[in-house]
Amino acid sequence: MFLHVTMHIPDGFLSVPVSVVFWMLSIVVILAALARVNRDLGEREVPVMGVLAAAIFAGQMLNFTVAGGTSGHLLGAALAAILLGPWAAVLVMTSVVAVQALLFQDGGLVVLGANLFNMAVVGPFAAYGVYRLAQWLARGRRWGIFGGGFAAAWFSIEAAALGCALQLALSNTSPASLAVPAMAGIHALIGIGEGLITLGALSLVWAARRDLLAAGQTARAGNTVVWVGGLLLTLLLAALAPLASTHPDGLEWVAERAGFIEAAQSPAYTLIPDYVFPGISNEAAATILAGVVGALVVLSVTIFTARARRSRHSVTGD
Amino acid sequence: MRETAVEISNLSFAYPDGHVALAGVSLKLCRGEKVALVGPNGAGKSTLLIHLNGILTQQQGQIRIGDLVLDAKTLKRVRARVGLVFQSPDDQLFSPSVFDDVAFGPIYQGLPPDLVHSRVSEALRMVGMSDYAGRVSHHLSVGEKKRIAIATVLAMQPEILVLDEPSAGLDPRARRTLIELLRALPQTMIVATHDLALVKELLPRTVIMDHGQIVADGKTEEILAEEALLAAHGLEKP
Amino acid sequence: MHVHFLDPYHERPSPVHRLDARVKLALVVAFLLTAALAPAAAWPAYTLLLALVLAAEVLSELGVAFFLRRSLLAVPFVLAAAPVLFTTPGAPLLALPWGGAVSAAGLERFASVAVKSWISVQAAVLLAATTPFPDLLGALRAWRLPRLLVAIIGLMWRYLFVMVDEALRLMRAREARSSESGLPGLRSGGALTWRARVTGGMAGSLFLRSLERSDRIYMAMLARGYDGEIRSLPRPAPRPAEWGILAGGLLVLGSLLALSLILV
Repeated sequence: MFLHVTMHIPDGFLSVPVSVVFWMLSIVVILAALARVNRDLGEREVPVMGVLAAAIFAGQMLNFTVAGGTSGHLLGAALAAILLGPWAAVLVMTSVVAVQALLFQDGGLVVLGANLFNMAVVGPFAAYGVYRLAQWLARGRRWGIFGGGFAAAWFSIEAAALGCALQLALSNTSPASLAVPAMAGIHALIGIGEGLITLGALSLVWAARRDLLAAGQTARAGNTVVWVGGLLLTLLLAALAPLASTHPDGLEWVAERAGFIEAAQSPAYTLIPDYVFPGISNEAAATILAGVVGALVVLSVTIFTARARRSRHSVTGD
Repeated sequence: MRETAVEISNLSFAYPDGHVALAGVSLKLCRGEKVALVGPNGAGKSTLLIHLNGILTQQQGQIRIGDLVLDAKTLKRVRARVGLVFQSPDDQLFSPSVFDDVAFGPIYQGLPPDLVHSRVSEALRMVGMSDYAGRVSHHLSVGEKKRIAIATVLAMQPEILVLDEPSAGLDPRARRTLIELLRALPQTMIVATHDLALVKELLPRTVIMDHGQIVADGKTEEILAEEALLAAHGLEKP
Repeated sequence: MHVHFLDPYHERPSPVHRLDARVKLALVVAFLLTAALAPAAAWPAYTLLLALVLAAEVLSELGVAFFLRRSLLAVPFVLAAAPVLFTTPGAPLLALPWGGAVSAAGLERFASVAVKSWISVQAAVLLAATTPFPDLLGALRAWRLPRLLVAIIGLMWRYLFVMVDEALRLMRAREARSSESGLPGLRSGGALTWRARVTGGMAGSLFLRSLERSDRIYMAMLARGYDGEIRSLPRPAPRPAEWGILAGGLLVLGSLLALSLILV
């Protein structure tokens, strides 16, 4: 199958507790999205989401030559969020990522929750937050759409990549000091490709169906909270990156160990403790865990506040 | 004896699933010739056409476009000489404006901006759509889209035009416009089509394909008169 | 256009193919969880798991080579786990030129990740290759996946081939216009940013067309009495023998896991 944006983690790379936690996070968001989309789109939702999910899947096959043999591809989370709103984008991306895992082994099944979190939750929400921020700053001027679209796409990739790096670090598969800069670095470049493709797509939509972009503008009750929440999530993940990197626990430890060679080896090493308490065995990961939990709290508060406000404003629909 | 524009020698091709689409096809076209490629669905017409600009690579045989033998090295240059227009215009118009779509070919070639502009103007003029440069491709009618699709290829100034079902889906008026357009174009032409009335009007030579092979090749008026031959290959006299 | 390569299902008259999709799904998920929960370096457990999946592969009549080819997909990602080689505490095995060393424990962990991943991918391929997608979707629904999501994924599947077809044709059309003029001194290809934006136009075009198509689909659904509720026919329950297979399978996997945890 096509190996595009290298974010689909296969089975075996994340510890079970990490997988479980991210499954729970993703399920919460997906259930919220299902409820929300049901209200917004009504009965049109199935054909619209279904075919658009197919379009995104197909869109991920489109490529452009970068240099020599490498080519750039689209993830589509940002585009989906801009054109459909974040909740519908969550469902569309969930369908795409889930089918990729189930049928094409693009990403594992036990770790699917984590992959969904990165590409179907963080991706769309980060993009939506950035896009709405740009629009608010631009105050109706066109650069809000195109500049915002580019930035939203870049952030969606970068934030998803950071999520991926954090999951690997928490599972002690890759130390944060390596995973974070590696993922963030590579995807900073890939993000530019995503930004350009998204820009091209928005140009076409702007030319042919301007109404679709205008529709995204209408702020509905609760959406402000949603996009601010999305923005906070992005900022949190972005802040965690340098934090995690400056904890060179992995390399520090190696330097210490290299100083002396042990003849006797303790049989269990750290295997069982690692397995039972992954992520809490070193300081950096504990910090990151706190950060993720924090992001989660923000997101949950956002969701529930949005719902509460919505039910209060359901008649006026401002 | 006019020079050879296209020479296909013993071309064979099978798809990955095993289906043999072309079984030893040989064909020669002289400069300026206009040829119809007819036959039932599944005969291999489309497969043959997309070999001509290297989208598919044959497993056996050779293709010569003018003085160039088609291979991996000459591929890009051959594409400038062979303008391929696909059946569905929606799949060929992927830019925000008509200008952008028609300009793709010249821009890709690396031509300077003023040359790009003149190529686009010329191509749109040739299809009779000079006013359409600023329009949005998405909003055009099928007939208009088909003509723009032809323009996107004419912008590369090809010597040979290859068209797959150009009149499919067109209403009589759009079809008439298309026929007159094709009549006025000077390029060597191969047209795969089910529209035998168009063949009779426009294309002096007809090639019948069936089961991946050429089963007849000759003057249109003669071939289209042979009812038995036509019936044997799923065709009806126009 | 030949895009049927996209469908991972390969029909065979094998017992694995015939097994009820709901049972298969449960067994594969249990298998994957067992693999995930098995501790690092539990080689006996890994060997047994591999034996189980290989046995299933043989039973499926698709040939082990088929699965080996597909499972190689997970291989590139293994590099992401490479750091454990030298960051896992333990006696050093191989000194690295830039300081530090690969430890035996690190090698064990790395190998564990690689093996577990490889075995898991095979199980996933087995599920996809022996179960028609509509049945798989039905199994997900039976295991409580929300109806709305099932409906969306179902429709996505239906139009996947159509959209992928369109994407491939868009790329062909672009290829047909990607040429070299032969004029001296010109570099073909256009600017990188231009190429990316053109690709974006293609994506946008796919999007728009799918949106408009969804309107037509919605109308067709309405014409058939769609009212927003997704209903489907109830499926017959799995046969007793299949329940037996499920129970047996869970027992085997459970024991395997328990033993690997106890004996490590």
